[in-house]
Amino acid sequence: MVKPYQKPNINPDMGVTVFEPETMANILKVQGKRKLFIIGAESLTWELDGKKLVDYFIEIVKKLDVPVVATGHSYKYLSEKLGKDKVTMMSLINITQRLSDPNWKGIDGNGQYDMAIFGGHIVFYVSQTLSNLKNFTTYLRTIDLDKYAHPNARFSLANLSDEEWKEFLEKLTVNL
Amino acid sequence: MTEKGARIKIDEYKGPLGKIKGFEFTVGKVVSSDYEEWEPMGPTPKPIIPTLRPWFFKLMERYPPFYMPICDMCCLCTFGKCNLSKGKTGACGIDMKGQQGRIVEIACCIGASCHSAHGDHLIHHLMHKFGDVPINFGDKIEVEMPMTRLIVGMKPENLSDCLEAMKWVQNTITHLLSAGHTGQESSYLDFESKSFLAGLCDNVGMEIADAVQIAAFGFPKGEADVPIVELGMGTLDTENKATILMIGHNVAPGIELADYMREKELEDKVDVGAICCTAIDLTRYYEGAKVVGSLSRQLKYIRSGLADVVMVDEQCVHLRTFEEAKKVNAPYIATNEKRMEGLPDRTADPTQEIIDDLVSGKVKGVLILNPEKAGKVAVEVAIKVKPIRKGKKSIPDREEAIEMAKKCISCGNCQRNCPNDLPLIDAIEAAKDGDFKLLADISEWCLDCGRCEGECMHGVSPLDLIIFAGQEYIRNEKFNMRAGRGPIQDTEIRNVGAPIVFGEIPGIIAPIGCANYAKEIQELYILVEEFLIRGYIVCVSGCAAMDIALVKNEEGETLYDRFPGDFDRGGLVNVGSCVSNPHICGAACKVANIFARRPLRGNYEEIADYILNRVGAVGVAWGAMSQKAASIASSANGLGIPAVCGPHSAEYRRMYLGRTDNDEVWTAYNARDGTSGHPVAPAPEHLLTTAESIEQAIVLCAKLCIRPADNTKGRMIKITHWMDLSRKYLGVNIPDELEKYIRVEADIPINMKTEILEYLKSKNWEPREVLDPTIVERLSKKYIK
Repeated sequence: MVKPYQKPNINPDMGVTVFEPETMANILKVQGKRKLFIIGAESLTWELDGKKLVDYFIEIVKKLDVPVVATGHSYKYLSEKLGKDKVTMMSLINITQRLSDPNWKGIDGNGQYDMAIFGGHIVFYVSQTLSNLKNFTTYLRTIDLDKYAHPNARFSLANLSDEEWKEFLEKLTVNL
Repeated sequence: MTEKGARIKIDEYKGPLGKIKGFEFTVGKVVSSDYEEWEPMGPTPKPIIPTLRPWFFKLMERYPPFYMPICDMCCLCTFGKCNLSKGKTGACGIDMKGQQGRIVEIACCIGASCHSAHGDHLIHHLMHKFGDVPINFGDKIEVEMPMTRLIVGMKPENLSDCLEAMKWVQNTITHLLSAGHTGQESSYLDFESKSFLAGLCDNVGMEIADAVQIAAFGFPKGEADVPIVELGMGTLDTENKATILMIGHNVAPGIELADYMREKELEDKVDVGAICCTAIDLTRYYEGAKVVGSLSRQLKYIRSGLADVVMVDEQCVHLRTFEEAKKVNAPYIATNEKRMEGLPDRTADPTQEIIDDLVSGKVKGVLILNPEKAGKVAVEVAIKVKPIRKGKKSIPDREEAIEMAKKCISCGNCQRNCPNDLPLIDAIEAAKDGDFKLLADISEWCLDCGRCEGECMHGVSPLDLIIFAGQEYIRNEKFNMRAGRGPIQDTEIRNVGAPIVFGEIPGIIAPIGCANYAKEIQELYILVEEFLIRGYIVCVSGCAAMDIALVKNEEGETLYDRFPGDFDRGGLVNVGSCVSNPHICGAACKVANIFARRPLRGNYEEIADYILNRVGAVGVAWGAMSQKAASIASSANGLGIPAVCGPHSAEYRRMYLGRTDNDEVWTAYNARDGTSGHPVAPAPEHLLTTAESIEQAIVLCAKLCIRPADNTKGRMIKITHWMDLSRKYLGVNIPDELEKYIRVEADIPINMKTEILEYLKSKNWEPREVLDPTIVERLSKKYIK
């Protein structure tokens, strides 16, 4: 992978950098049977070309048709846009704790997930929760769609500029 | 039991026994029992590692450690580096959870030893200076030093008694630290049990440190109406006076400095301010001192040229302060053996010689381990050096700042090295055109660490640019805060004990700790104001006590101007510095002791069980940074007091998380009849957790105040606040799993009753009994009448 966004965050087992949105689209579509999208509060304040990051993620959610966990204080916006039946409110650390329990029944009661997609989180905070999932689960693919190279995620982006990130997310959405 | 030294001296005796001249007999220790003196001894005085292990393991059944490794390797011995990720073990056999538990345990030992060594230094310094001063906090406090009573089982009467308690602390920390050696402890749960015990050591060490300084220096002894003091980087009179900046936590040299200034009537010539806990403790002694701010102000203040002399003591002092002081020609004085900085030890040299050497620039910095001498030197040097320094700064002027910005190639290395990922690229880009607004804006988000500078290969210092852009703010940063008042009075506990235990005062919120915030420094203000308005008791200490005062309302008032300092509904209590934290845990213990008449002495488990089930206290460490903060958290958690931390605290690697969906662990004994297996609310949900945003933290704090023993009116009040805040900050109408917190219809908030009943119906809710809960079997039968 490329150097982690937080440069000292070097470890022996690091994830894979995904450079092409088409590749990421393929991963999101093909890999994993039970998926969950975990969207954080930073997505409400980060903007790409005047459009909230959360709105990019909402488009991806709609294309993938996956349930959403709203962390931080992102629930209100997400539930208004996606509907309350699609969105569950939970803290980032609580959902991570449940994802790392192989016996968790899932939000819908149908069992543990095999793919967790993250976006809209403080870089150093989500890095830690991803570290938990990297080290203590064997069944979960983790994907982070923020612009950072996250070594603790199985797949993440390549430390993109805002322009590159916008283009990536737009192409990703088209290819889903 | 107490141990005292004894000395018999007979100069001359002539009588029935004959003649004795010049007789002297000394015994190191005389052991005497004080069993009858104040309270029967409980089961666990001076606990050793196994003593309270069952209690800590019980806590971890509900709140198992949750690990987030920040490093996948272990590099502690020459077998390493060992990769422990994904189920691997190291050469010594340790696994990832064990390694995380070990590192956290070592951190807690460092934190506890730091406070305790500080306390130990103070005891000896104060006994040398004042003699064996009695520890007496006045008529309104009979239960002074509740943590020492609870944990060590003794009630220190004077300074020298504290040495015995300190001996337990030091001995215990040595044993705990030894467990971290290669080939020692293997179980992560046992490492965690040891971390809890390190928290007990910390509580005693801190309590001693604060008690002895209150007793000997005459700090406030729990009075609510302590003085309002000045806070901010703009408070020192740099125009007309020589200025001294102190940084650290050990106030002893600062006290001497203040005494010397007053004795020589130099207050119109010298202004003194401090950063970190030395600031708070100095204002407990000398109202004229200024609180410059929390730990994220050190480089900003020195580089701005506002200090004529920099004097440091111990803990949380930026390690580059000497280098920074040299850049602005400010003489530098180190005063503590823990931080000697390679400086020449001038303790034994004549005072005037040291002054001359510093003023002439012959030496840039000195080590003076005698607080009195250090204080005098600081004052005299500041007066003499001010006209020589002429306010020299080490930041660029406007033209130089623009030129510096133009060297930036926007590689982003600085931003990626910034702990808060501040938008440095955009801010410096704007500065190239003379637009410093974005740099000024991020000034309040900047942690002042200087990590951005080390990464630049083109000689750009983003921190210098931030400080330059923030100069106007720095000059005008002037706020009010209330000085630290020390302990909570017994009379206050009597007044609020019942409303707290029954839930009618909805909770005690305690923002404490460091300034490693993920966002702007003023963010914590939002949380504190919200809870004060709602009638919670808010207790603060340390850096948090300063940072919540950095906002004024439309009338120009800070929170300290607006809310009284009483430990009562809607009171904002600044207990003091880091070592004052046990007054907050101590207040919870006093509720059990004074209100509920549970014995304190050596009775840790019972008191902790009481607090866990009944006292709705929650710590908030929104900017926790240090190992000391880790041990403080352990000290609260062991007592059943949960804590909410900010995002950076995930880097501590470990939380204690409950699972509201795991019904098996949310059961209790009913102390009314001794029966077991009764379901209780999953409260408090977590023992130690992080929140992603201040909005989430506010809601979480309200939720964590719920306790299984709330009466119906109290539970209704707590649920009202929790739901109201959920609606306000999260947009959640009815929180998930609300049904688990409602036992009977009387728990339901009246103004939301219809919709909640409808919700409960959809969840097939059924009423359940209101218990007198305990999680300890032996306690379930203790009070049956």
